[in-house]
This record gives sequence, C-alpha cells and structure tokens, in this order.
Amino acid sequence: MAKVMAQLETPALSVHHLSVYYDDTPVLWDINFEVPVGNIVGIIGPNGAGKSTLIKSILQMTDCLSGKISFLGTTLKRKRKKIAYVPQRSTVDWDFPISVLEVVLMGLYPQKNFFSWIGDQDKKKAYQVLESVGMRSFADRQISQLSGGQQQRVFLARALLQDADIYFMDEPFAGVDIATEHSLMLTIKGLKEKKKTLFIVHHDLNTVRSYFDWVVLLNKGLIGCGPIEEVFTEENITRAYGKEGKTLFDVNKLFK
Amino acid sequence: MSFDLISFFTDPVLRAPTLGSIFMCISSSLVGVLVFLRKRSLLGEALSHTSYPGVALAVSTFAAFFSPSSDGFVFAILFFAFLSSVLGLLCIDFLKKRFRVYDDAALTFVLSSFFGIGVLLASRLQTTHAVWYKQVQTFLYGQAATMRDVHIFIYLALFIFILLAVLILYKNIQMLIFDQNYMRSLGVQVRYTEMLFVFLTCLAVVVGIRSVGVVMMAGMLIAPALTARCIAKSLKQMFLFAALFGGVSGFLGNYLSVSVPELFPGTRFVLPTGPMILIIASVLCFAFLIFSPPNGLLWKKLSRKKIKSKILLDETLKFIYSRPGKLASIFQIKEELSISFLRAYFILWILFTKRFLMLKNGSCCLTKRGSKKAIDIFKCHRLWGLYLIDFENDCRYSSLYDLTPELLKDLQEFEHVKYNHGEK
Amino acid sequence: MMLGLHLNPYKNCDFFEFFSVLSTRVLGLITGQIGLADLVSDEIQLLVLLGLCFSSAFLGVFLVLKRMTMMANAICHTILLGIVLAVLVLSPFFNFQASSNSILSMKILLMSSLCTALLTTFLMEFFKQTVKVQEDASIGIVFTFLFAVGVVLVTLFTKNIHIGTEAIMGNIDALDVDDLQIVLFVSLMNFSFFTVFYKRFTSVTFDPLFSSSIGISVSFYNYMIMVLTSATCIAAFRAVGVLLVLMFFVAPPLMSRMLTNNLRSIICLSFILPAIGSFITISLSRHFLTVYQVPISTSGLLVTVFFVMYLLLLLLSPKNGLFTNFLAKSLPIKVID
Repeated sequence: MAKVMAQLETPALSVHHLSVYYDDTPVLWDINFEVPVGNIVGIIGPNGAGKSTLIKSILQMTDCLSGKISFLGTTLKRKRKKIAYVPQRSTVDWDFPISVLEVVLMGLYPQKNFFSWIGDQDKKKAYQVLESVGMRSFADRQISQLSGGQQQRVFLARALLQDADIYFMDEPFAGVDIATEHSLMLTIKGLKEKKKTLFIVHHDLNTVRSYFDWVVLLNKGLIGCGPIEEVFTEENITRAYGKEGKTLFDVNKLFK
Repeated sequence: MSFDLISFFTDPVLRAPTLGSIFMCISSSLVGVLVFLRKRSLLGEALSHTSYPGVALAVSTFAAFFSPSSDGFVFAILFFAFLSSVLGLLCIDFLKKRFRVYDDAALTFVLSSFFGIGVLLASRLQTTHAVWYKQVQTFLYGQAATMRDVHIFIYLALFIFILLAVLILYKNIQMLIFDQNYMRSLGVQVRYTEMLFVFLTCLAVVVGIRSVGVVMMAGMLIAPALTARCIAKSLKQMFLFAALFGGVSGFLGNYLSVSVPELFPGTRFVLPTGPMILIIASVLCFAFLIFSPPNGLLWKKLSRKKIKSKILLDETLKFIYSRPGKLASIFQIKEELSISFLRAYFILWILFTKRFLMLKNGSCCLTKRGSKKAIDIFKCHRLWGLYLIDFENDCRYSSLYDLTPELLKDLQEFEHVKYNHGEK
Repeated sequence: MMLGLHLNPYKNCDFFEFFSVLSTRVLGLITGQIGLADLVSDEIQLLVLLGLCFSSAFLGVFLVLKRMTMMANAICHTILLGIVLAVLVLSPFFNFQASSNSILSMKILLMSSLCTALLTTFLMEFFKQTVKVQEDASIGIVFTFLFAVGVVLVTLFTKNIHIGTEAIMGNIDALDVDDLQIVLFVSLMNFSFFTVFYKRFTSVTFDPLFSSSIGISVSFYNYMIMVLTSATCIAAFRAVGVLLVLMFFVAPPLMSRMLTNNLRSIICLSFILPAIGSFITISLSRHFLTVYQVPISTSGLLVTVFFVMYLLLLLLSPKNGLFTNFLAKSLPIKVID
C-alpha cells in the first residue's frame, strides 16, 4: 500500500481511517490518503468497490463507522461553499419542468439566502459559464430534451458557477459521447490551471493515463493513492480488477 | 356470556364473520406477497378506492330488483366492484404508458377521481334509497359483523381460486418476480402472468372490502407480506408465513372485537372488526420488523454498536502504539478518533481493566500485553483489508471479528506469497 | 340592505342563470352594495373552493414533482385520526363539538393536524430509512394502521362511525364565513412558505444529492411539505372532506403539465384550471337542485368535474392530446413542432 508523503502545504483533501458499513456489509475499510492541491484525481475501482460511497461519506451524505476528513485543513462545515459535487446523472429527475439556465443558476444557491432573488448579474455569469461549455444556445431549452452529453455539460456548468476550490464528480463520462468527453476534459484541465483540485470517479481504464495526474485505486480497501506513474501499475490493476484488468491493461499497452 | 375459541367457528352469529375474515385475510396475504415483491404495494390502496363506484353503481342499479338481504345482491356488488377496480387499473396503466404520468401521481389521481365519482353516485342514493345508502356505506369501513353464511361460501370459493392460481402458476410467478429477462428468453408469456397478477389483486381487494372496508384494504395486502419478509428465506416460505399471519390476524381481530367488550360489562362498548383485524396485522408486523432475530431493527442496531465500539477500542490501541514512547493522553485520543471526552474515557477505562494500558506520567501507556495486542490488531486489520480486496468473491464474512483463525492463516500465507513474488 | 341570509338569490337558477346572478352580486360587492355578511351559501362555498385551489396550487405541483402524492394520500387518511383525537381529548376542556364554528376549535384542530402530520411523516421516514422497508410498503402500513386506530377510537367514544364519513366526504352545505377564515389563513401560509423557499424547494426536488452537498437539508423540506399538506387537508375537511382534497393536489398539476413545461406557468395554471372547475361545480350543483330537484354531493361533483376536465385535456391538448395527434396524423400536411 503506497502511503502518500506529507506535502509542505496543506493537502486539498485528507482522509484518515475511513470505514463505511451498510448494515453489516463493509463497503469501505480503513481508507487513508492525502492529496495535494491542484491535481486531477481519478477514483478508480471495479463495480462495487465503493467509489460513489467514498465521495458520499467524505461529503457526509452517508453515515460512516469511523473516519476523519479534512478539506484544505479544515472541516466540511467551514469549507462547504468552496466544494462542488456533481452527482451521477441517473440520480436526477430529467423530466422536471426546468430550463438549462435555471439548472445552472442553482450553482449560485450556496451564496444566496432565502430572500435574495436571481438578478441580471447572476444571469450574465450563468450565460458566460454556459458559453464555456458550449451550451449557450440551449439556455432556454427544457432539460428533458437534452442528450446525455448535453446534460453532463449543464451539470459541469453548474459546478463551474459554484466557483469552488474542490470538485467531486461521480461518473461524469458515463453514457456521454467522445466529443463531449474530450471537451469536458479540456474544461476540467482548465480548472487545474487555476489551482483547483478535482476528484473524478471514472470507469474507463484506457483513458486514465491521459486524463489524471493522480489516482486513488480502490476495492473496498485502498490499493494505492498517488501519482499515476507510481500507482497505476499492472500489479495494482490486477489486484483491483482481477484478471480482466490485466487484459485491459495489456490491450492498452498495445495501443501505445 | 363468555366465548370460547371453538364457538367462533360454530356459533351461527360468529362463524360467518370469523371464517369469512380468515378466508379473506389469507387470500389478501397471498396476493399481498405478489404485490409486495413487485414493489407495487400501493396498488392495493388504489384498487380498493377504485372499486367504490362499482359498489355504488351496483346498489343503484339493482336496488329495484333485489332486497337488501338477498344473496344475489352480494354477488352483484362484488362483481361490479371487481369491474370497476379493473377499469381503474386500466386507467392507471394507460396514464403511465401513454402520457408518462409518474406512477404515484397516476395511482393517486385514479384513486381519488374514482372514489369521488363513487361518492357522487352514492349521494344520489342517499336521497332516493336511504336504506341502500347504508349498504354502500358498509363498504367504506367494512362491517364484518353483519356477514352471513353465504359470505363464507363466496370467500371460500375465492380463496380456493386464488390458492389454485398461485399453486399452478408458481413457477411463472417465481420467474416474473426474480428474473423477467430469463422468462422472456424462455418464451414464457410475461404479459399473461402480469395480467394474472393484476387480476388476482383486483379479486383479493374486492373480496376484502366487505370486511375491512375500502379505506383500509391496502393494509391487509401489505402487513402480512411485510411480516413474512422478516423471517422467510424463500418464496414458498413467504407465501406460507404471510398466509399464516393473515389468517391469525383475521381470527384474532374477530376474537378481540367480541371478547374485549365482554371485559367491560355494563358499558355498551363496541370494537369494529375490520379495523381490529388491521391493527393486529400491523402490530404483528411492527413487532417482527423490530424484534425478529436476523433482520430486526434492534438486532441490527445492537450489532452495529458492537462493531463500532470494538473498532474504536482497536483504533485506540493502534494509535497509542504508533505514538512515540507508546504514550498518549486522553485528549490526543479524543482528537484523533473524533469522539467525545466521555466516550474516550470509557474506552480507556475498558482497556485499563483488561490490562492493556497503564498509567505513566499522567498519560496512558501500553503494557507489554497491550503492545502485543496492538501488533495483533495491526496484523488483523491488514489481513482484513487484504481479504476485502483480494477475496472479493468470498462473501462469507462481513466482519473482521468473524474471521476464523484458519482463514487468518490462509490470508497470512497469501500475503507472504504475494510479497515474495513482488520482491522479484 | 338585502336579506341575503334568508333569501338565496341563486334559488331556482339553472346553470347559466347562476353566472348572471353571480356577476351582479360580484359587481354589488365591488361597489359596496353588498357586504361580506350578506354572502350566501353558494358564494361561500365558491370562495372556500377558490381558496383551496390557491392553497393547493404550489403544494400540489411540488407533491407531484417530488412523487410524494401517495404520502399526501397517507396524510389525508391519518388526519382523520388527528381530528378525532383533538375532538375527544380536548373537548372536555374546551366544551366544543366537532361541528362548532368557533375559531378556537379550528386552531385546536390545526394543532392536532400538525401533530398527525409530524407523526405520520416521522413514522414513514422511520420505516423507510431506519428499518429499511421499501418505500411503498412503509407508506401503506403506517397510514392504514393509524387510520384503523382512528376508526376504533371514533367508534369507541362516539359509537357513531359516521363522523368519519362526514370527514371523508365533507359537508359543504354547512360551511359559513368562519370556514372562509381558515381557508384564507392556510392559503396565505402556503403562498408565503412556497414563495420564500421557492429556490430551495425547486433544488431539493430536482436534485436532492446536489442540494444536500451544498448543505440544504432535504428532510427538512419534506417535513415542511407534509405539514403544509395536512394544514390544507384541515382547511378542506369541512368543504370537500379529507380524501377528496387529494384531487386538488393531484389533478391540477397533471392538467397543467399537458399544457406547458414552464414551472411557473404550471403553478399558475394549477390555480386557474381548478378555479374554473370550482365555478362549474357550484353552478352545476345548483342546476341539479333547481332543474332536477336532486341534491347531490358537491364534493363528488367537484372530483368528477376535474376528472372530466383532465380527460378533455388528454384528448385535446395541443401538445400531446390523443385527438390532436390523431388529427395530425390524418392531415395531409405535416405539422412541425
């Protein structure tokens, strides 16, 4: 198990002894890692490895048995406004009568209290962000009319509007076309330039090397966390995925 | 006058409600299992309300032909109620398929509109045939006490029909619940089995509304099935237990509604049978949900607490071991584990009594025994992590405290081999 | 001064005459010739129904979108228990009967409805989240149990099961001005809560995970909706009865959804469409009384009118109606959306 070396500056996220049980079944066991600021981190593991659970328990959306989490050195409560979470697309009601613009404007809700209304300035910011993901012309469209890729862009736009320091994304590329995937990845890399840290649950082993700087390799327990070259090795992948993983890896090497 | 148990089955006044209720409850329990496993429990609620206009219509139409106490009347009412409930079901499916209305909204809309139409029809009756109006009202809350022998036979027939249907099509039912795709691949007609489910649900609902009433019928479908879920380990057991619980509730409901008022002679107090049956079924259900051994809430909470406290004890020992000098103060422990002072104190107290810790310069220090235990714990936790990652297909153990010594040895071997290979 | 209390100007009106009398009366109201105390039963009924339409506009839309209509159904059943308990437990102290019209009794009923709403929601959530029972079963078992308890209590203490019947179907002809007050109060309450918390409700309904990640408690808003639902049920119970108020919650949003996709328009239409239905209901009810000499249940009639309105929309809606689609297919010209 590769232990992360302590960085000189405060890590973006540090997780100590995180264990999560659903009833009697262990979902995550004794997860420990620290990730420095300014990295795009892939959370990788086979089905049922606990990747979504990891994010949810870090963000206190699920009960954990034990664990100590800190974001940029402080607790979740203090840093909430600077953390953005993009859930899996399947958890949202896409039949809801709401337009693209209104969804994106939700990104401003953390800063708005009950009595402040959405003003023109806010709408301007929303349009800008939609522009940056290529969805400006869809602003007044109903979300039920969007394709998978377009839905994901809208989600990303909302997250961008939150202007957070740490981003968590759960399977953003599931069911999304290649062109959208590439353009989303460009935007994500743009965020990295601005010293943001991103944690992305990802399922496609072939693109891990090109997308991520760091990787958290999970299968209920932590197999490894660190820079790609150190952790994303054949041995670790076999441990996580079994023999199929090795095949994937070999195929990947063929394409290099 | 006191009633003994046998008289409930023989006494001419008591036997109709008792037997009728028992048959009704068992029928609805069997169908309830189907509906419950398909996660459509509230369909029973919708169908019972949609049968109401059928009742009102039957009464309005046949008021001229039958007298209120004739047997043909009972058939007419049940038949119309059945048709009305099937019509309601068709409306629900239509709304969902053609107009993509949400499931719960379709159910509620149809339930509410049919019921309202029934109310409208019944109100018409209130002025024209006041006596008939009362008949219709008995279907709102049920009136088991006024059932007659003819009802026993009707309910027995319906019960046998439902039982036969379940027995004959048992394999189909099993496939439909657990693996629809496999069923399709075998060429077995999925649609027909679905239609049968629905037909049986309408039938069970209609059978039940006379004794528990339109408003509470849903409970008789859900409660026995949910109770059975707590202890059943197979579909067959689900049916058997649900039928058992249903039958018992049916009997006890009648028994209590007659015998409890007997305890208070002099007061003319009455317990309505329908709601009593339901209350008993629900209380049974709650009791099983909370107290039944493997899955009951109490057991789960207790075992979770146990695991949590054991883990905290282990973590404390590990933490103290990893400190320089194997020394730590209560405040450091409290900080590291994010627990309250009281909890930390309690944990340390336990460790002291087990002689894993001793006092040294005002802080807690590991004894020799404690150090050894800490090392064991480190090993155990590491092996458990290994087990979770590498033995993922082996689901026998859900807790590291269940791991047998043999398995621990196996894991150690495995680790040894792995690391030796890695070192190549 | 008109003798409005004793002479009902709508007597012997049929469907169309009703509206002409109504317009004259409204004009009279605006110009000050007719005071509030002169309102007759038909008008009071109409106002109460309009108030209910207003209360349920926001509430119904969010109940449908949150897929909580079955939980609203549950509240409609358990509220009976609350009313019964309030009447039984508190009547010795306050000396009132269920049909008394004092505001004090209404406040007590409101309080009891709050308690039942909280109890029901708590139990449903308890079974769903803690005991991990599937959602449909947890709703079903909680409300049927509480309702059965309510019925038993009613029979025990009053030996008259028909109090329950009146609560189910309402007794619209017994309404008077005090009932208007409660409906007004609930309308204002619903309106204010939904306007103030509009953003929160929208966000919690559309994307609960995102909302909890930014610190909004989804559970809190669920409870709030349930409390508002039960308050609306209480306001409605004398007019249409608790089970039929469900139609106010479910039908208007479904109707509006056939016509538009904008959330704000849906909410507006969810007030306008049932309002139209209410007008039609009251005048039809009067019509049946006048022309056919048949008094029928106004609440049943209301539900039927809403049902028919929805049916018409299903057939004729410009977006997706059955008939409009049929026409479009059989026309030689292709209609581009």
